[in-house]
Amino acid sequence: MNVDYSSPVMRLTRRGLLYLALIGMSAIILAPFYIVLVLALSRSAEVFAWPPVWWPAVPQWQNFLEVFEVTAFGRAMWNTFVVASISTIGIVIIDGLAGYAFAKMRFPGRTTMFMLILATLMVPVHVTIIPLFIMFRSFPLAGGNDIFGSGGFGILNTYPSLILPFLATAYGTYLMREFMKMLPDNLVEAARMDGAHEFAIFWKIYLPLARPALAVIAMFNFTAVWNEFLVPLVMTSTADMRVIQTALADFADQETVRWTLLMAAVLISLIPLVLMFIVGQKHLIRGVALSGTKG
Amino acid sequence: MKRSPRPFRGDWVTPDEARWGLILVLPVMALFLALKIAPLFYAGYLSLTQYSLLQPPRFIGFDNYVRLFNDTRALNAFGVTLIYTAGTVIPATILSLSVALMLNSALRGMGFFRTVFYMPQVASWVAIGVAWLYIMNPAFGPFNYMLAQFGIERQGFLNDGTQALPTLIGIGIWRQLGYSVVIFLAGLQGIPKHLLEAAMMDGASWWRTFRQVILPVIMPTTMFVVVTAVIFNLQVFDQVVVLTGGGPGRATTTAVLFSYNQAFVSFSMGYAAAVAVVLFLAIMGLSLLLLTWSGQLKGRR
Amino acid sequence: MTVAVETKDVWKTYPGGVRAVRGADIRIEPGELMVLVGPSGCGKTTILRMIAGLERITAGEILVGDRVVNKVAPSKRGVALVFQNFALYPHKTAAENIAFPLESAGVPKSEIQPRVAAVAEMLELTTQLDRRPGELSGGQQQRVALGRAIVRNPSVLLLDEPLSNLDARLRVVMRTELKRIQRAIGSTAVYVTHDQVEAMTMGDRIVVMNDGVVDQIGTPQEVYLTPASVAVAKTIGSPAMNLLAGVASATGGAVRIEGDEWALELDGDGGAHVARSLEGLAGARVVLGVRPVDLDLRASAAPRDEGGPAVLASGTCLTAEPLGSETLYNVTVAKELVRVLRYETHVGIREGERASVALAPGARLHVFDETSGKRLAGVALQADGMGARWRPYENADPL
Repeated sequence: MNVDYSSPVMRLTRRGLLYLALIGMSAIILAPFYIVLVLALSRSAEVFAWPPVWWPAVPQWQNFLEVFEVTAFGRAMWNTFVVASISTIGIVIIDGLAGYAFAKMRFPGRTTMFMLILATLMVPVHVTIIPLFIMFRSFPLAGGNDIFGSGGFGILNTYPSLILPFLATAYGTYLMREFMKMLPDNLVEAARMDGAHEFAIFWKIYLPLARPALAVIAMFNFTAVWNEFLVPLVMTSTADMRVIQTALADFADQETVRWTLLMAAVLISLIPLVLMFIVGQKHLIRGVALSGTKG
Repeated sequence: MKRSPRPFRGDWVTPDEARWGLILVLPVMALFLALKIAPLFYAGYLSLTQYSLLQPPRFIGFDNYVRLFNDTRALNAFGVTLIYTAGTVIPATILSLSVALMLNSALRGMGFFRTVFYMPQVASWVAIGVAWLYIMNPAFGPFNYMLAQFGIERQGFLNDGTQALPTLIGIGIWRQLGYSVVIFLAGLQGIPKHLLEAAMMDGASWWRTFRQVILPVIMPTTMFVVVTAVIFNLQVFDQVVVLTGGGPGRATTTAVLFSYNQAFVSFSMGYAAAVAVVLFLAIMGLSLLLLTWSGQLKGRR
Repeated sequence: MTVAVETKDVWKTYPGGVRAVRGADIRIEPGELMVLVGPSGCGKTTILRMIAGLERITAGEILVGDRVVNKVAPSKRGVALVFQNFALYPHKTAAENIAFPLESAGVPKSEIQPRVAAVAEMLELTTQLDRRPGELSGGQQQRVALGRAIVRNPSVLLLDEPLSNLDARLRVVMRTELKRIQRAIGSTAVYVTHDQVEAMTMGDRIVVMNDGVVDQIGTPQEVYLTPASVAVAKTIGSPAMNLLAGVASATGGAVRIEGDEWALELDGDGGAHVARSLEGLAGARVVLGVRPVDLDLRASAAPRDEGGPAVLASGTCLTAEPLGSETLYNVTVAKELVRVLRYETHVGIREGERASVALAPGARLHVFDETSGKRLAGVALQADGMGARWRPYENADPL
């Protein structure tokens, strides 16, 4: 602790002002979340009330049920869940393998390959999205395409078109390597002496030890896919392939927005993420911080 | 003296290690080649063609780029993007450093505040956008009600040609804070306590301590925050679609939105790719510029 | 099996050009405990890791039990390694750690359990088997690491500074313990350490290494009594041997070695022996080596020529460090610091006083070539009926 030589009165005043500033800013940060909650529980008339209501007269809990009855939000949630889960499992496996190999193994071209992956950190989604759209559209022998990839829509508007773009994340590979590097090196050698197969060293020794890191990467990725907007917007076209974000945007784009249901849907879409964030926040924030201090 | 044999090429101990190393990175490399590197080159090729999806791409050289630099709509989109980025990154960085300094003074409840500030990062742009859409609604939004309490008349905000972009920027700053604060806090943890204590023993003023002890240590962190924020904000898209759809008029049409519209509304794939490539080069150039600039700053010190 | 481990002209050059080992030839007999000792960076650990198969061999051959193992996988060499920091699997219990090599080798589950139990009993670990490394003390972790190594019945046990992570008291206990276990399982052991006390107390034989080169291989007695080079003399023995640079000149059968404010006359058989070894040595620049126990200290205000052949020099006693049963005196002679170790507490020299440094009865002197550092000759001051005489001595036999 720092020693503070100033007078107690000064110190208290300074503390008070500091807290006041932080609480004020927190209020600004949290205000939109509060408004989402209020509207999600309001009757339609209360949405347009002037002055705005602080809290609905009678909380309308049935709004949350109505979202699923009136719109295809249930389907969108299912789609999102499938896409986010599969891509997350894929990323954890792929990045776990690669992160371990890049951190602990020696093989030809490892530096070049890792540099190549790092370089793609600089390639934004918006550059690759148009080529990916065309590539997916002309995917051979799928979606009515012939063997040359023409005639139909390829794998557009399918789960693979929503999952594939997320599988190559330089960030995940990089983070996994950093985590693996923090684990002791000589367990590899010990396991080699003990006769473990190169793959068994990864599978039986390092994978169990890297479980917290894998959880962080899984959380990052799940959140990112859950919240992704551009990719599903480009890759899907029909209502049954909507994911949460495109469904919400559709909802908000209609002539007469049903604010109460929209906010209820927003709230529902936030719940899994907020729960996950609260459970894993210590690890998550450490992950963010790691990328910042090592980057 | 005995001869000294030449070392082997490669540093793997057994062929097994080299073989399995390659096998383990194979999936990642294959995916990166197919989903990042190939599309990047494909984008470069597309930008030199005219392609509407109906007929095969037709090679037209640099026509798309010539068109881009003569297209006021395109130039406007790049201008909007730059203003948005500068308007968001600079205030958000200063603000988040201040917040991080406040939180770092080891007050009780720091963890709680950190969680609060990170909350906007957890929510999607669409969810946040919808909430702000309501708050800033000119007819019944709570923000106009608040202004009315101070005797300020109703504002158009997102519906107003001159206010739409500043409103977007404000919301952008609001969301950027959490991420930057977390990273700044990590950077501030790196300041050795004895340095701060030494500064205090010297009776250095707060400002001098900041300038001479804190700032030099967190300069790399600051650069990281700025560079990532610049890269991220130059790609502004989601929030524009949700909040303004690029309007009113072209007031908030950003580069990515312009490219998206060219590709998926006008089906000018080649032109859209050219816009994307120019933005990509701008992002690369700007990040490199910032990194060299910060490197020079470090060199001078 | 005639040999347990052999390195034949083994070289290790790292990518980047660092030459860690230069032409090492070592033969280790079955059942022997061989210690590799030397300062850090001398290449001893590299040799161990090459025997283990964790480091590629740049040139030369390594044999384990008559078989060249250069291209054999580490686990197939019949060797086991105990790591310096134990390298236990943190997420596995002690039992699981010990069982892991057996599992990897595909030993049936029914067989693993009794073998782990047997090893645990021998290492007195039976009550700790369900704990993870984090819950074990340093000494217990060491035993688990040892258990993991010996459970496969390796023909050669490799130990990489196994005691350096333990506290001083435990280290002494484990020294004896390790030797007992090695004898009990009857396997050959190669033991790397930088601690010469460990080397002397544990080794059946010792390999002294310096700067990537094997300087000497021999029993603890041999390397102590007849160090093959200045480097070996520096490494083995505590307090370290005094090494004084000087110029030798032979006159008749006697040799006179003279340094900065010290001189020594070697006559008799010993003198002739040294004179022969100096033949062909350009410039006759030598290093005289004498262990602190071979020196004596006498109170004297008189010049050095008063004391006869046994007086080496006179200097000022800088410090007297009582070590309990003995006292270590540091005496400055010109710019050198000469260490004298005496068992008597009544030498009577106090710090700051002048003193004569003399050779103790039975003292052994070592003459090294200054340029190459190699040993040239050894002489001992031997008492007979006519007083003390210099005698040649070139082996570790008792005088």
